Parts: sequence; C-alpha cells; structure tokens
Amino acid sequence: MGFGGAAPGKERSMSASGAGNPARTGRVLHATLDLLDRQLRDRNGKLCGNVDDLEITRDDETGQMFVSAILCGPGILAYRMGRRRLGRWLEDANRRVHDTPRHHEPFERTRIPIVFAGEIGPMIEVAVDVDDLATHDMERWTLTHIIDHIPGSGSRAHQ
Amino acid sequence: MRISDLLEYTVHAADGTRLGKVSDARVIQDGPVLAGTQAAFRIDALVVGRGGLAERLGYIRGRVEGPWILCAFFSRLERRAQVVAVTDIARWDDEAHEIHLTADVDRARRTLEP
Amino acid sequence: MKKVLGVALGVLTAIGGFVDMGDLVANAATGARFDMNLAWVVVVGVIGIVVYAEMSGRVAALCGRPVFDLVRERLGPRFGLANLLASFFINMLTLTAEIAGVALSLSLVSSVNYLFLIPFVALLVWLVCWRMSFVMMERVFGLLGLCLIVFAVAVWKIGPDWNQLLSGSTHPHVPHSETLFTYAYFGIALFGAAMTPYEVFFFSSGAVEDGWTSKDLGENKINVLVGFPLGGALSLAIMASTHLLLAPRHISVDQLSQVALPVASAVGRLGLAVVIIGIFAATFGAALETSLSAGYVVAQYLGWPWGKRDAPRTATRFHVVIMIAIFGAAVFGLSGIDPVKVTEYSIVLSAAALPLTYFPILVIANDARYVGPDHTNGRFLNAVASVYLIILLLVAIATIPLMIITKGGA
Repeated sequence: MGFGGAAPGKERSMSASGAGNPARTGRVLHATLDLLDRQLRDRNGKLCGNVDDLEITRDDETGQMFVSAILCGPGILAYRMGRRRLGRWLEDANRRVHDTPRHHEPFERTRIPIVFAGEIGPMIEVAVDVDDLATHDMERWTLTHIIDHIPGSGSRAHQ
Repeated sequence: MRISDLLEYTVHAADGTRLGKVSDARVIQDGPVLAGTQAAFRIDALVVGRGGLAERLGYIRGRVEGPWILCAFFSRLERRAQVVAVTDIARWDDEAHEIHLTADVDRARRTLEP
Repeated sequence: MKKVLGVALGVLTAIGGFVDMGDLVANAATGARFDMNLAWVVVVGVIGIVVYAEMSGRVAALCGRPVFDLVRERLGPRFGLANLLASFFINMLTLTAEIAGVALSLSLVSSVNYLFLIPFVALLVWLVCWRMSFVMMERVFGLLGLCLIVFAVAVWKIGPDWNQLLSGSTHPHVPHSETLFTYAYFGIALFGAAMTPYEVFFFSSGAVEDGWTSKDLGENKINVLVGFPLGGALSLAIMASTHLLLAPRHISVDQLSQVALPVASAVGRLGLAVVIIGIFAATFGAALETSLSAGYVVAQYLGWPWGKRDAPRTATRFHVVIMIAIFGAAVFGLSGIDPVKVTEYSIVLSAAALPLTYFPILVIANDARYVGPDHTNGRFLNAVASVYLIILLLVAIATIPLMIITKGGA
C-alpha cells in the first residue's frame, strides 16, 4: 500500500540493483537505525511484531561477526530496555505456557534466522508464518479464550 | 550474544584509553543468502560514541533535509562518532564488557563519512 | 459526479466530526467568560490541526505506516514507550469525558441521571466498535454531528451587532474580571480542544486501513483544508452563542446542559432537540474514535495486528485493549468525577503532550525515504509547521505551571 518505502543505507551500494536481491548488494546498514524496531511482516503479509533485538554471532577464531537472527517476542524488548530478569522471565513463561504441538524439536520461536529476512525497508518481510512465532501466541490465546466467546467476532463487518 | 548486550560494551584503545561505548554496528549485506551460512549480514565495524537522537532521526548525513529549524538545531549537536573496524579488535573481555583494540588511539579515531 | 459526491461527503463528515466534548466545553465556557477575546486561538488551533492532519495523512498514504508505528521506530523504544504511556493516559481521560458527554446528552432527554446511563453508553460504544463498519460509522456520526450547525442558527437568530462581534474577535484583550494567567490557561484549553491528538491517531490509522495511496492525497487535502476550518467555524459559533446569551447574565458553563442553553433560548424546543442530537452524535463519534485510538497506539507500538476493518478475530489483542479502555473509562466516569473537569484536564494535557507526536510526524514528512522525493514538505509548509512546533513546545512548557497558578482555571 502506497509508496514502497525507505531502502536504508544506500550510500555504498556496490551493485546496480540496490534494493532488490539481498544477496551481493554490498548494501551498508546500521543495525540500530535500519534493523531494530522495524515492523515485521510474515509471508502472508500479516503483522508479526517488531524487531525487538538482534542475535550476533562472534567467531573468535576468525574475528568475524555476523547478525545471525532477528529476535522478537515476549520479553525480548524488556531485556533490551534494561529489565534483564523481567525479560528472561517473560521469555521462559511464554515458552512454558504455549507448547505448540507442531514443533517437537526445541524450536526457538522468538528467533528468526536472518536468512529468512527479505526486503529491508520500512517493514521487514520474513519468510515465516506468523503462527511460527512466539509473538503471536498471546494473540491466539486471546482469540480462543476471549474473542471467540463473544458473538459476532468471526463474520466480516459489512462495509 | 545480542546486540543489546553488545551496546553495553566499552571500547578501549591499545594503550587503555577509553574511546566510548558501542552505539551501533555497521552491517554489510553481502555474501550468499543460503541456509547454513551466515555471511549474509556481516558486521564490518562498530560505531563508538554517544548515540544521538539526531542520528536516529536522520539529520546526520543529510538523510532528512527539512525543516530548516531542525536541521540547524541537530547539526549543532552532531556527534563525533568514531568507527572501529572489526579487524582492529584484539580481544574481548566478556566479564568486564570491554573491547580492546589492536590499533593505537589515533588510527582508531575515524569519523563517519558524511 | 460520483467523485464530487464522495469528496463532499468526506468534507461534511470532517466538519461534523470536528467538534467533540472538548470543543463543546471549551468554546462554550470561553464564550461565557472571555467573550470573543479568545476567538483567535481557535483560528490558530484550526490551522495547526490542518497542518498536522495533512502531514499524517500524507505519511500514512505514502508509506503505509500510521503515527505510533513510526514513533517507536524513529524515537526508539524508550522514548516511544514514554510517548505511549502519556498518550494512552490522556486518551483515557478523553474517553471518559466523551462517554460522560454521551450519557449527559441522553440524560437531557430522558431525565435519568447521567451516571445510570454510563454503563449503557459504554456498552453501546463497544458494540459499535465491535460490529459496525468503519465507513458507516464515520458517515453516520459525522453527518449527524452537522446538527450542531444549529448553534450558528442560534447566533443568527439572536441578531447580534455583527460589527461589534467582529471587532471583539479581532481586537482581543484580557477582560477586567480575568487575569492574564486564566486567559492563557483557557487559550491553551481551546488550543488543545482544536488540535486533539487522538483525532490524528485515528485519522492516520484509518488512512492505512483504507489503503490510501498517493492518488488519495488530493482528497485528503480537500477534506482537511475545507472540512476542518468549517468545523472551526462551528466552534466559534458555539463561543459566540454563549458570549451573546450567557455572558450578559453572568452564567458560567459548569455543566453540559448550559452549553445547550443558548440554542434553547434562541431557537426554542426544536432547536433544543436538534442540538441534543448534535451533541450526542459528536460525543458518541468522539468516544468511538478515542476507543479505537487506545487500541491503535498500544498495538502499533508493540507490533500487534490491528485494524477496525476486518473481523475482530484477526486482531484479538487490539480489540481486548479497546474493551479494557472502554471499561476503564466507564468505571472512572462512574466514580462521579465532574465530566466538565475531566474534559478540561483532557484537553489541557492533550495540548501539553502534542509535541511528542507532532515532532516525529514533522520529521518523517520531510524524509524522502518514507514519503518519496516528490512529496516531502514544501518550504512554505515547513515554515508554517516549524512555527507550530515552537508554539507546541511553548504550550507544553506553560501548561502545568498555568494549571497550578490558576488552580485549574478557577
């Protein structure tokens, strides 16, 4: 909807394409300016949280550092804003309460590996389903425990 | 580690001079985007020094060009950011949250390109 | 032809939707105490809301992001959170005032104490938020709000000395019975009533939901440039009516019923009926907007799905926030707090909090990466918008001290 939006950090694009294919553009981004706090959208266009934090992997042998994942979900933002214990507690609580049966392996639902990130713009498109993410757990809980019990919640409001 | 942890680290030159706190990480989006490799978002430098609202809003480096009053106001406050290449890092002290550089102080003080 | 009709409808809705409990109380109270000496503030406020709404509408249309979504991104989560808490709190005060206003307007026709009506009103507001179509909602309440034109009719029927009215408005001074401090305080209240932030949250979220694009910018401009000033004219009619009928009798406005008094006096029973419909529609419409805004600001900050257009099951937490907000406002209203006082605090604090949300919008409206290189603010608009930024900052600084000095405008 509307103008495609900001493609950040264009100042040193080393290839002609710039904003398109994320591979091999050499695009320069600044983590706190261009990645953090961006709205996330899933593969179906649904809103699924903001980039609350980023996971960084450090290779102490080669000295290289990478942004390896987007972190998003209950407690992540609290951790970032300084409430470390509260943040960790919220993350654990969410994990314990919402045991979705779909994933039997220890699947970190607050962690989106960076390879799933597509277009980096005003919104970051991620190639996952919103139901795969912890950020949606409370939404589903609210749906089944509150909203579904109120009549009129399912049908489309007539235009 | 998380970037919010990284932003707690202070950067020290080889002679021990404190250069400042990490305020941002410069990321180059290059490398193949394949599952398993993590070359897609490589951090090539750390930005050191007090972060500014001016930077966040876009008034540094002319991303936002108006209104005049805010441009003038924020350019006064333009922070002297220093950029430290990841290759200049000698060692990490994870307990004290410190990063120690190989380079001496002068070489490390490079300001951001306009 | 159809396009013209659509635009006309948009403008009429904007006029009718402009006035809310804050405008009613502020303009009526000011007219009774200060005559037309604060009329100029309404003009300043209307220009301000035109600038603010145009920029937010343009930003929403061109980058598909409403105000609060952008606040967190540009100011960072800490400033964004402070902003969220302040805005939500003031929103709650406003919602309480609006629900009380609806209940009061119903009590005027039913002789039931308004307190008994509050739960009923809250339920009704929630039901409309839950089920009614967005577009229909806006249209119905916006158009019914046009009944408030009866204030202008009342002024005309009184047949004032127009020259005197005009010169009183254009040559403002502080009346002898008042001090500069109360004058300034009421000025801030009027300003906050005209430049309501919830209006902009609602407006920009609506623009995103309706899928506005650059093609809609023209219509946005017309709605805003024509509709809001006419709404301001309606506010001035309210001020004039109390100036002409209440001030000479030294009647001050402490209750909503006194707002309707000039109309009843000048136009009779029919006028009273029409004005009550108008007040009901204006306050009910505003209650809907403030309820939705409560949901918008929280959901947008936290990145939750939000939206009024699709069924509630697609935005569950958003709707729960709305429910909690309406419930909380109803409870607060039932505590017996004076609705006029709550209204006054809500508009005054709204005025003080304006820089928080105005400032990011001003920056983004200048950012070519968000609105496109062709749609950044022009130099004239930037000049005007910058002046308003300064005005808003001055108002923000002055509000709390004035509130203390004047003891809440006593």
